[in-house]
Amino acid sequence: MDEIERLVRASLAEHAAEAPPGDVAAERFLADLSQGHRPARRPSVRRWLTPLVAAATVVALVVALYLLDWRQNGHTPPAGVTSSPRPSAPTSPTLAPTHSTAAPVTSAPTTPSSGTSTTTTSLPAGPVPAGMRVADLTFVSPNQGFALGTGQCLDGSGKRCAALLRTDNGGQSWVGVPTPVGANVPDTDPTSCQAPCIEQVRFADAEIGYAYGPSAFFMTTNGGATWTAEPGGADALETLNGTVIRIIDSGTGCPGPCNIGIQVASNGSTSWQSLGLPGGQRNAASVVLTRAGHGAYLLLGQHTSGGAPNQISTLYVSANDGATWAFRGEPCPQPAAGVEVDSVDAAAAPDGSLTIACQPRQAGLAGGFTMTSTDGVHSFDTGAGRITRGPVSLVGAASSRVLFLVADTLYRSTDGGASWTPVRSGPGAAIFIGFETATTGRVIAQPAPGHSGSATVWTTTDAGQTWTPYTFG
Amino acid sequence: MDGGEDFARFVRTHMGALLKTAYLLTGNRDTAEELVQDTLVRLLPKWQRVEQAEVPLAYVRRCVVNRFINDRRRPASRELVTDLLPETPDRHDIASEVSDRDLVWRLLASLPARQRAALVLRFFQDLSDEESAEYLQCRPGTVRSLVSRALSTLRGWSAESDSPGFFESTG
Repeated sequence: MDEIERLVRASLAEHAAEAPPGDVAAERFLADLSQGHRPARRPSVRRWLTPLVAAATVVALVVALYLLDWRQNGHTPPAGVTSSPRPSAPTSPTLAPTHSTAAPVTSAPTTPSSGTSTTTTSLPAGPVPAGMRVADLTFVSPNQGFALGTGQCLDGSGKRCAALLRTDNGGQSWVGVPTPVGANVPDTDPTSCQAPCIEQVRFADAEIGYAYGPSAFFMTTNGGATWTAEPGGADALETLNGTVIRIIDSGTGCPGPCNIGIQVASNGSTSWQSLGLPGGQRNAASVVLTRAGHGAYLLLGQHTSGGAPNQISTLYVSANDGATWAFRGEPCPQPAAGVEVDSVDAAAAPDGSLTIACQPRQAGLAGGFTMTSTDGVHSFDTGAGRITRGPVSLVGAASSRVLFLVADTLYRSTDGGASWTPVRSGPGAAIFIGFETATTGRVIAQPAPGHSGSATVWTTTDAGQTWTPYTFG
Repeated sequence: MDGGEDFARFVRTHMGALLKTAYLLTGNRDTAEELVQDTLVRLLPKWQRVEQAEVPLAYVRRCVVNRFINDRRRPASRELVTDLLPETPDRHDIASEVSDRDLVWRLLASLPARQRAALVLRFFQDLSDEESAEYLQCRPGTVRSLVSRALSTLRGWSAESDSPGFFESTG
C-alpha cells in the first residue's frame, strides 16, 4: 500500500465519523414520511413529490390490507382491551420523554447495545392487581415497557398497595412485577404517601431499572425480581445511551426542591458523579428532565401561584449525555415588564428537537403555546397557535412538527405548533404523555373528577392520528 | 409483518451506515442526508424487491452510489457542494499526519464522482474490485482504472508541491 492510498483510507475512516447521526436522522425521516412531509433538510420539492405520493399510497394500502387481514382472521384482543395497538418494530435508542415532577413521562428506551426487548434472564411475571391505577410509564422499546401505580393489595385486605407492571407486547397485555419491599406509591393524594415513597420508574433495558421519589431510590438489575435501596432520592431521572442522569436536591431551606444538583452514572452502577450546574437558580418548584439522541435538557420551573413576575424558569442543556451542561436561561419569551410567561414543560423528540410548553401567567393574555428548537437549543421557533381553553400542563413531541399539548383536553399539531386541533377520539386530559419513537407514544388519561377507578393507558402507533385505549380491570 | 414496519426497521437499523457512505461521497452532511432520504423514498414503493435482495443494505447502498453519480452527471448538479472549499491546498501548512488526512479529504472533493465513489467503495467499504464493479455497473478492470486515476490525480498535486516526497509512494 503506498502512502497516498494509506492517507485516503485514513481520511475516509476519520471523516466518516462526521456523518449525521443515524438514529436522529432515521426518526426525523420516518416522522416526515408518516406525515406526508418531505424531510426538512431537502431543498428540492419537485424531486420529492412524485415518489412521496407513491410511497404514501403504498404505505396506506399496506396498512389497510393489514387491518383487513387482522379483522378477517378473527383476532380478538385480550381481556380489557377495546382495541389493541399493533406491536412495532424494535427501534434504535432515541426517545422523546416529557416529564415534570407532577406529570410523569416515558423514559428513554434502552442502551445502544440492546435496543430491543431481548432479555438474557427470565423476567418476573406475577398477577396484575385489581383496580390498577397507573401513575407513570417507561418504555425501553415500542414493545416492552413498565407501569408504576397502585392496585388492590393481593392479600385480600382491600387496601391499596404499590404495583409495578410489565408489558412485552406494546401494551396489549401486562404482568405483575415485584415492587421494592416496603415502598409506597402515591394513590389519590400525593401528600399521603409514606416513606419510602416512590413516584416514578425508569428502566434502561429489560433488567436495569430505577424506582424513585425525592427521598427514596431503588435499583434493580434483574427486571424487578429484586430491588436494592440506594442512598438519597431523585426528583427526575432519565436513562439513554448507557448512562443515567438523575436530578437531586437537599430538600430543605425553601419551598423546594432546593439546592438542585445533577448526578450521572453508567446504567446499573451505584457510583454517581456529581456535576456542577452553571449559572442560574438552584431552587425550583418543578423539575423536568428530558433526553433524546445525545441531548439532555433540564427545565427548572418556579412557583407560579405566587404570581411574582421574576419567578422565571431556567433551561440547562447538555449535548453529551449529561457530561457537561450549559445555562440557557428562560426559554419562553417575556413580552413586557411585569408580564410573565411560564415554561411549564419540555419534551425532547426522537428527531433530536426540543419543544417547550409556554403558558402566560396573567389573565387576559393569549393562551398557551409551544417553542421548538431543532439546533441544540441555540434558537427557538415559536408556534403561532394558542390554546385558550385552560392552562397547558404538559407537552409531548413525536417530532419537531408533530406536537401535543395537554390543557382541558389533548391537542395535536402537525405544523410545529402553528395550529392546534383537539384530539376527538382520544384520551382527553392527561397526566402523562411520551413518545418512544416518531410514531409510537403513550398517554395516561386523567381520571374523571371524583373517579377512583382504574386508569386508562392510550397508545398511538401513527404519531397521534389515532389512539387505542387499554383499561386495567 | 407489513411492509411499512419492515421499511421502518430497515431505516432505523441502517440509516447510520448509509449516511456514512453518503457523507463520504458528497462531503456535505445536508447533501448526504438528502441523498439517502431521496433514495429511500424512491425505493419504498418497491420495497419487496429490496427485501428479496441477498443483502438489502448492499442493494440500497448501491442505489445511493448510483444516485450520487447520476446526480453529479446532471448539468445543474455539477457544482460540487462541500463543507470545505475544494481549493488547492497551501502545502506550506502541511506538517503532520492529521493535516495530510484533512488535505486528502479536501482533494477528494475535487475528483470526478465515479473516481470518488470507487475510492469510497474500495478503501472505506473494503469491497473487492469485483464487488465495487457491481456497485458502479462496470467491469472490475474499470474499477482498477478509476482507483488508479484517482490516486494518480491526488499524487499529481503533490508533484506541484514544494514539499517533495509528501505523496510519493513508499513502496
